Amino acid sequence: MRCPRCGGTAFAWREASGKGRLQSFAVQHRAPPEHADRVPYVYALVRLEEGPAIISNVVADVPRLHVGLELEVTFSDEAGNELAWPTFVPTHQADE
Amino acid sequence: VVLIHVAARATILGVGEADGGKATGRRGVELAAEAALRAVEDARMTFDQLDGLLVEDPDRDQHHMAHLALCDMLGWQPRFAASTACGGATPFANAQLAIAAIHSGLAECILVVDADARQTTRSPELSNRLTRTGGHRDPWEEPYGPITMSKFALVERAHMAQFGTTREQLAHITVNARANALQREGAQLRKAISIEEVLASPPIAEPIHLLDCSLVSDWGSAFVLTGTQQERRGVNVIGFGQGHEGYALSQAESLCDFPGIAASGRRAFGMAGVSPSDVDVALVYDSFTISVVVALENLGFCAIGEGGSFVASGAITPSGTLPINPHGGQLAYSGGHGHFVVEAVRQLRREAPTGQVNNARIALCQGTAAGVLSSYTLILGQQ
Repeated sequence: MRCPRCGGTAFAWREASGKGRLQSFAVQHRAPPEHADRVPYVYALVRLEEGPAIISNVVADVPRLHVGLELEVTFSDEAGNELAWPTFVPTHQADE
Repeated sequence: VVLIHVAARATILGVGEADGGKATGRRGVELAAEAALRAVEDARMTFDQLDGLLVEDPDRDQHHMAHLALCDMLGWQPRFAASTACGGATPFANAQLAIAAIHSGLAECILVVDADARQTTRSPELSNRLTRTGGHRDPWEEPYGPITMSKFALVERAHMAQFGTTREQLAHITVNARANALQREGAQLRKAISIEEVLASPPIAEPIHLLDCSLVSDWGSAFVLTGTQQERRGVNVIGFGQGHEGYALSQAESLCDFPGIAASGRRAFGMAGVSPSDVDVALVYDSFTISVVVALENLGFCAIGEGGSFVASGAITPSGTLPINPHGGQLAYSGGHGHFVVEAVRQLRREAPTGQVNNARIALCQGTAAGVLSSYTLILGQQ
C-alpha cells in the first residue's frame, strides 16, 4: 500500500480529532435490503479536519443539512452491522 | 470548415445491434451473437475475414470468459480474443485496445461486442446485490448503504453547492433524450416528457430522482474495426484517449473537476488535431444527467461550472450548437453501452434513421466508469 498523494509507505496510526465538514450527501430513499428499514438515510462524504475524506452516514434532520456543515464523529451501529462504525452528527447537535 | 489532415488510426467497417429493449427473455450471449452477426453483415464481410474479438464481461450473464461463450455461439475461432471489464465504458476501452492489437500485429480485423440481459435477469435479490455501486463492493463504503446512484448524487450535490446548478437545468437532458428517441425505431422509451414530470419523479438518492437515471435494458451492440482502410461506408477513428483518477470517490481531489475525463478528452483531441468546437455531434455517456454535465465541462465543451446553463440553453438539442445523443442515449434509447459508438457511425455515414445531424463530419464518443472518475474518449471522422 502507498499513500495516494505522495507514494510514501511509512504509515503510522494517528488519532484524529473526529471533526470534519460535510463535503456532499445523498438522501437515500432506495437502499440495499439490509438498509431498507432505515430509509430515508443520509449517505455522505465527510472531509476530516486532518485532510482525508471518508464515506459515512450523517444522523440529523435532513432540512438542516448543507454542504460545508460542521460535523463530529460518533460511534454507532446505525446500519446494524453489529460493529460500532464511525458516523457523524452536526457539531452543535452533539453539544446539545 | 475544418480540414482533417491527420492520419486516421483505424476504420470502423460495420455496426450492428440486437433486438433488445425491455425484458426479451433471451440470454446475454444470444443478444451478443445477434449484434455480432449484424455488424459483420453490415460490414459486408464474413467471419473468415475477421480474426479478433473483444467482449465486455457482462454483469448478469455468462460472467467469465464471455468471449469464449460468444465464439461457441458463432462457431468461430479468432486468433485473438479476450473479455474486459471497464464498466459501462468497456466498448470505448475495447475500441482502443483493438486499435493497439491491430497496430501490434495481434489481429487485422476485430469484432468488438457488448451485451447483457439485465431486464430479463432482473430480480430484487440479484439487482440489490449487483446495483450496489455497479456490482462492486468497497468494505469502507458498503456498511453505509450505497446504491449505484449514491456516488452520482454526491457529485450532483457538490455541483449544485459549488455552482448553483439546479435540478431543473439537469432535467433538460432527460427531456432532450426522450424527444430524440420519440420517433426512433428500437428505442426502449418512446414517450415525451416535460421538465415538470422529471422534477416530480420519485426520489431515489436525492438530489437524483428516477427520471435522472439511465434505463435498465437487454441489449447487444457490436462494431467491426480494422486498420485504416478506404471503404465507402467506413468511418475513421481519428483520435482516442483515456484518463483514470481512480475508483473510490472519497479519494478524488475534487467533486467538480474530473481529471480523468479531462485527460481522455485532451489526448483524443490532441491526436485528432481538432478541438471541441469542431465536433458536429457528441455521444455522451448519460448514465445519469449529472454525468453529462461533468463530461461536457471536463471535455471542454463549456467551462467548469457552466454545464447546467449550457444544457438548459438548448445547445444540446438537435438544432443546438452541440447536438448530443440523437438516438436518445441511455436515458431513452437503451441502458446498453456500445450503442453510442453505433450511433456515431450511423451519424457520420448520414444513415441515422431519425435525428440525422446535418453535415455531421466529426463525432465524439465518450464513456465513463467508476462513477465519473474513469473516462475513454473516441473521436470519429468521415472518410
